Amino acid sequence: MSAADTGRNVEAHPQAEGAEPGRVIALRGLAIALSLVAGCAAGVMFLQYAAATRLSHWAWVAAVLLSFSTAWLAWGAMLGLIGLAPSRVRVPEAATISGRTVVVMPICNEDALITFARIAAMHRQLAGCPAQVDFAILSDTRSAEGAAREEAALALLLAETGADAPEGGGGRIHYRRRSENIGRKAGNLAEFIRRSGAAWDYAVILDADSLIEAETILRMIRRIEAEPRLGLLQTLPCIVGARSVFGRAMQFAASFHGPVFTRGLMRLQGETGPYWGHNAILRIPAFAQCCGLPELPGRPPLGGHILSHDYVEAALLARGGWIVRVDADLGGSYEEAPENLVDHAKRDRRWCQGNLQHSKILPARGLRFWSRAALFQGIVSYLSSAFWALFLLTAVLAGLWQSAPDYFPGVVAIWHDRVGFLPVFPRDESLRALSLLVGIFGLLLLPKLLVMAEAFLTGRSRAFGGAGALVSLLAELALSALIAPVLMAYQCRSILQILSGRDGGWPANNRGDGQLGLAEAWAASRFITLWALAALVLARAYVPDQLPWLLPVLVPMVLAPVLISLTSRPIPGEGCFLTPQEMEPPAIVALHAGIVAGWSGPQAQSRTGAATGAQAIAKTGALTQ
Amino acid sequence: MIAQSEMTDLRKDHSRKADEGAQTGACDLPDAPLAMPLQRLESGWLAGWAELFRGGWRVHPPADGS
Repeated sequence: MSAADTGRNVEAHPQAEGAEPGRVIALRGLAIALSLVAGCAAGVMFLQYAAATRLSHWAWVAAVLLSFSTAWLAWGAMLGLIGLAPSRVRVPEAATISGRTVVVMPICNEDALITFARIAAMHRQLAGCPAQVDFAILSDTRSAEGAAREEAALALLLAETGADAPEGGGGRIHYRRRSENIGRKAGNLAEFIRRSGAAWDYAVILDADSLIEAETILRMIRRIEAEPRLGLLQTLPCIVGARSVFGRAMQFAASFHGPVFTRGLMRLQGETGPYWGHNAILRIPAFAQCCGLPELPGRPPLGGHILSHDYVEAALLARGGWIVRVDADLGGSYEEAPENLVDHAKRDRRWCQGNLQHSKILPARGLRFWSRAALFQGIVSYLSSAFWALFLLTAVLAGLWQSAPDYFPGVVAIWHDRVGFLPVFPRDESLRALSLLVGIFGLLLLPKLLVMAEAFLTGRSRAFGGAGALVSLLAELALSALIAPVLMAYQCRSILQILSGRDGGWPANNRGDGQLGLAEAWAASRFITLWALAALVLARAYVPDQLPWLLPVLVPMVLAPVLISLTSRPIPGEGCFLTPQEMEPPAIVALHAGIVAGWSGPQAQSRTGAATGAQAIAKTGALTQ
Repeated sequence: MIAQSEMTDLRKDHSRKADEGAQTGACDLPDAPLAMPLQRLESGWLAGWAELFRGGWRVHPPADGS
């Protein structure tokens, strides 16, 4: 069945590309131009600093790398600045819902009880809603034990949602497990659409750790119904449930800064917005029509199945003439995030490979300009770590090749019939170096400080603990500065692995408490410590005068195992990194917690009239995972 | 613990109720196929040159994705 056969939702499908409004194009041009100016200024200042003695080839290379890296930082700052002003746009929503919706959760080797409880929570909230909203759990779990746990959790889910009470529940619940997980997550969803996609008009796509309030789901449906050209609507998921220092710092940063940066992105998106792979609603016929992903030519890591499929799907929908949009004002959308740096780095390894794969898609025929720009940004976001590392390396090499100052370059003076050489002292460029440093840190800090000002002026900070938000913000900045070199090292290793042909695969996410001992942290990060120690020894031997500049990067790298282990532990006290969702847990999160507790507790026994499904899962190990 | 047979019974019961038109149930996915053609992602200029040398010049990918 083609999209044209699916009825009312396809009639308004535009055949021609919608033009981007002039305001959006002007804003994009301004943001790009200012970023490039900042990058060029940094490069020129570095060259002026290096020219105080003698410009080596390494100094030129370092200047180019610094220009790229600074331009990228400036681009991030632009998103923050553009998003500072509050949004007053009212997005149209359909008064009544006529389309059929399915909430789709692709899973693979997840904790079945906790994952299926999320479906139960959303199902219960949607009970009696003015729309047909079904659920589909699409499993790619391969192991027999994992499958058994899912079967047991499904039994609990069906009991919870009214398998024995036909009048209960918010819609049908479907579950299927593939025997072969071809194409991974994108292939899982594609198989579902090819097999059953015509049964629904819209699909709300979730991750295994996603939760969306019923009210938000209904608003998403109303918005996609109100705009017939809308192919995909992305929400901004808010991170919840973090317990560790690392997790809660990320959760705070995402909650505090995320809405502003997303608003900036929203103002630049035009009709070619982003898709982050989950917590979004898509128009199934449009998606089916445009998003059948082929394998990329060549072998993994750059060829084969597309790993970061979401950006590509957004680009293909836009190529097909559909609007892709992120609505930053849609609340009630939640996800979880890694609890420690190692899990974060593991996920980042997969994203890095996926984004570098996009280099093969970047020149694809017919893509719209901003889609290419989004793919390019994804690639640069990973390459920027390598650029920073290479900049540090080449700046050190430039220092190594620096000649001693020539105090008598041949300036002749005649004084009282005597001829002599005048000494010429090199210019002191340390002020310029300091200005450069301040400028770069300014690009990093200014948007965050402005977001803080916005939060205090608008009263948004009250939801983050009032004055405590300031402490959280400063603590998050300090922690970010400490872990940034460690993350840079992980990303550099990922890039080296990918360029040398190593496929990272698709490791399952760890969603436990994530605490790491020192031994585990050492095993995961000893290469960072060893790299940094080697750099320290070499710098001490050959460029001792540059050592103070390198210490802020090298010391956190040397201490990487300690940092990783310490930040994976629960945060002492409740005050720091407080988020609105912690002060007042969202209804859907509280409901999910209640269902998990119920399924894990003795009262679950009465639900099926027999022993509990939770016990069944415990027998097969899920509860001890 | 819940027996495997009981779980199977629960699912069967669910499917039966769904078949009878109940609001909940029916674990199996419905049979409602939808075409999802594979897209072409060749580089515009690289593929264009290759096709030019082969004697043809196609600007747009075929609608059916073949």
